[in-house]
Amino acid sequence: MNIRIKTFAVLKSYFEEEFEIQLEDQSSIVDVMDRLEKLNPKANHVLTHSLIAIEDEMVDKSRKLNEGDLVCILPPVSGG
Amino acid sequence: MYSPACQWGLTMSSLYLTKEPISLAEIFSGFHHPAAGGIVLFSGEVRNHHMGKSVAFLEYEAYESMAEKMIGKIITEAKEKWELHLLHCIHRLGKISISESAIVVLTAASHRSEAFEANRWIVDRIKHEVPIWKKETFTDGTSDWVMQCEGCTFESEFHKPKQLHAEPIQPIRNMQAHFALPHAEQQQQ
Repeated sequence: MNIRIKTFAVLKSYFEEEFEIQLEDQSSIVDVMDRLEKLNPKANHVLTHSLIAIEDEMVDKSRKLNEGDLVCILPPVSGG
Repeated sequence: MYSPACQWGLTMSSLYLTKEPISLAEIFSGFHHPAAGGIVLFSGEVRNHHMGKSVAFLEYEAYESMAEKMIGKIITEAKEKWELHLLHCIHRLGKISISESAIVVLTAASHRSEAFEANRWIVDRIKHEVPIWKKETFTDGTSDWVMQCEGCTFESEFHKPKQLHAEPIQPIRNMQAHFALPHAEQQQQ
């Protein structure tokens, strides 16, 4: 299935801002993170501390994905 | 220039974020309530130094739809925790110059202790939880995304200052070398 990925802030230095990956059906966020770590191992120290959101809600890494989901990868925040 | 008066013209999706400069004078001038004995205005401003380096300006980016919702929830929780007669909160996005406001929170309560406590609680929650990021550009022309607060020891699932102190981000010199895009992977398989 196709999963859309959106990155923010420092992660845009390591990946495109938006792109798609193909995963097996029944894949979870864990599979997304595994794929991203393989795509660019230099980003691992940021990915390790990133949180994941789908449709404006934080999701657990065990969350199963659906075709076309937009998975947002959020590096540690620094607002204010 | 952002001011409360122009806020009413915005949609619900941009209640707490603005790309316009924030006018403290305009916000504060109308922030009075007959039952409030304590008014606190916090302005988080861009300082000209960070970790010993000279800062030229900051740029803020947000996952806007989610940030709006999260700030809204924080505001709702604050109203439940403290009896606030008035509450105002705005976070700036985009390029911000030295001494301009990045975040402004105003609280009005019957007594100063609630106004101070609520204000600090709201600012801390926003700084540590809401998906907003700042990029510093230094006077030497280099820039870096910030992933920790200077001197901050706060740690949560959203905010990991300790671990990231140990392995700071190195500036990316050759962008192409760092990209490994999905289509490249597919070609390899």
